[in-house]
Amino acid sequence: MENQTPILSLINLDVGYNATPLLNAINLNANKGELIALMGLNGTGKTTLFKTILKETPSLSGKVLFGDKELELNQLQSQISVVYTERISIYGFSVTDMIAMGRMPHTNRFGKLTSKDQEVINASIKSLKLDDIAEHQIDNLSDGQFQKVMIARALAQETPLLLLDEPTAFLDIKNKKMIHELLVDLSQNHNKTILVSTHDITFCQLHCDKVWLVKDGELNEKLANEIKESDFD
Amino acid sequence: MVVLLATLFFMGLALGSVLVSLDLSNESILKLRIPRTLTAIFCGAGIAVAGLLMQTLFRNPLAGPSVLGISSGSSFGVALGIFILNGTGISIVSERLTVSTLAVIGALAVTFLLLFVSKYLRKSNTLLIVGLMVGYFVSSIVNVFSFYGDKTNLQSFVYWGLGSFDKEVDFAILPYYYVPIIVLIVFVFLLQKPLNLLLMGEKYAISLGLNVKQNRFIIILIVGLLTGLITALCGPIAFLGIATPHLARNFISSSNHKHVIPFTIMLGASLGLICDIISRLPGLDGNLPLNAVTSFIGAPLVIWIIFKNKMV
Repeated sequence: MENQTPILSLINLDVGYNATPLLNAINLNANKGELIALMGLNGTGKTTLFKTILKETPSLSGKVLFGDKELELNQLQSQISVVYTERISIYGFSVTDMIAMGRMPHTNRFGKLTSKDQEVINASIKSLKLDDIAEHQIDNLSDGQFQKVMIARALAQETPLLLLDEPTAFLDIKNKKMIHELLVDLSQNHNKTILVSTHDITFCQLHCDKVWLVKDGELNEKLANEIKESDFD
Repeated sequence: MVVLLATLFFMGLALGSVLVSLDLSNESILKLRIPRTLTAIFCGAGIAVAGLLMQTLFRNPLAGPSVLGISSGSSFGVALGIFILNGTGISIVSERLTVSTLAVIGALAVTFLLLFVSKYLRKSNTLLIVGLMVGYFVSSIVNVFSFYGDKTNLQSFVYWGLGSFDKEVDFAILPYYYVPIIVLIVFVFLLQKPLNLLLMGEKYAISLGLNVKQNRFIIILIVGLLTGLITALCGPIAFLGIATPHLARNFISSSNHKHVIPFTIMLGASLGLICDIISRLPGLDGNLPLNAVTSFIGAPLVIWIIFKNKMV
């Protein structure tokens, strides 16, 4: 279960665009094995925070530390794997091909997979119970199956931190539940630190360790079972 | 695929407006058909690979070497040579070589303009739009040249635009085209990992460690050089650049560049040969324009793929 080893630290961090801050003076830690929900109304800066952590957008001030280090863009792939909301389509790509993409940061110039890579890919397939559809084309998967495959790909990347941007936004109740249970499993049994942006209060209350709540230009931490609808008024 | 290519190669040597036996001492084979057939192979492969690079970079099935305005840059160079320099006595070695040199310079000028712009753009799709606009802009200048040009020059320009694999058959000059085209095609094999990552889109590619800006620079440079050299040698070739990568992916049912790159090269070379053979079928009085043949074959093939894959 979780311990107090910070995997991600935001120190006096201001995020925003064109020198206009959306979120000010963030000081938060994400520790090993924690499942953290990033919550807040649309347009309050959740995606900008993600982009800042991923160095897609420069921070206005402050630091983002991975462990105890600041990293360059080309070093992030060893620390963070990402799952976005949008579905992508690639003709002729199987589930296994897609999960193998998670190994690319570990491969040589030609992307050649070693036996170790194959082992990790197979382990990811097994962990997420994708054996039955391993050779299916990703374009033929349901939305829920697709997100599961993208999480398996992120798992194959073998990073301590998983960052998911509204992974269940387009999913039905059954698939949402499946993805939520999967995230719990990854944090508890694989010791992954997971930061997931979501609007699902019930998921937070039932499954998350804590919530990073965006409100009025500030990002504050709350215990997951303390979160309630009135926090968004 | 190799057998098909070899068969087409020998058919290319034997078939033509006159049927000849495959005798290498035959002057018509040695001086005309071998260079023409080799040009069809290298340029067919090169333009197909350029199309593949563009489609992967922009994740756009309609992207091709002509879309970024690079072919228009070549046309501008050729128009400059034919309409402005023709008759002024300015010439590099020969009139033919002058036009080719200007075609390469025109293509590279547009390529470097795009590379410069790409440094300031985060999204490749924006670059695609900029390339399209540059193409329209350059084409408008070419149209002005054509409008004011005299009839003979206009005829030469229109003839150049129809495309042909036998515009240059001098073995002393051809290696200057063939060698860089081959080197560029071989270099593309080094890009298979970045190209596979780009299939996932730029956001995922970056998160998996790809330096997107650097790879975009390399890809556009290769496309620019290939398109410039090939357009200089054969004129603008329609459709092979767009159609061949689709056909290749469809035949092998994969987008993995480890397999798609070699297959696109072989298929591009084969289609180049097929189009060349059709353009000079025995019995035809003279050669059909290459672009008429490439579009005649390419367009129905792409429509067939769309319906076969139920992409409607």
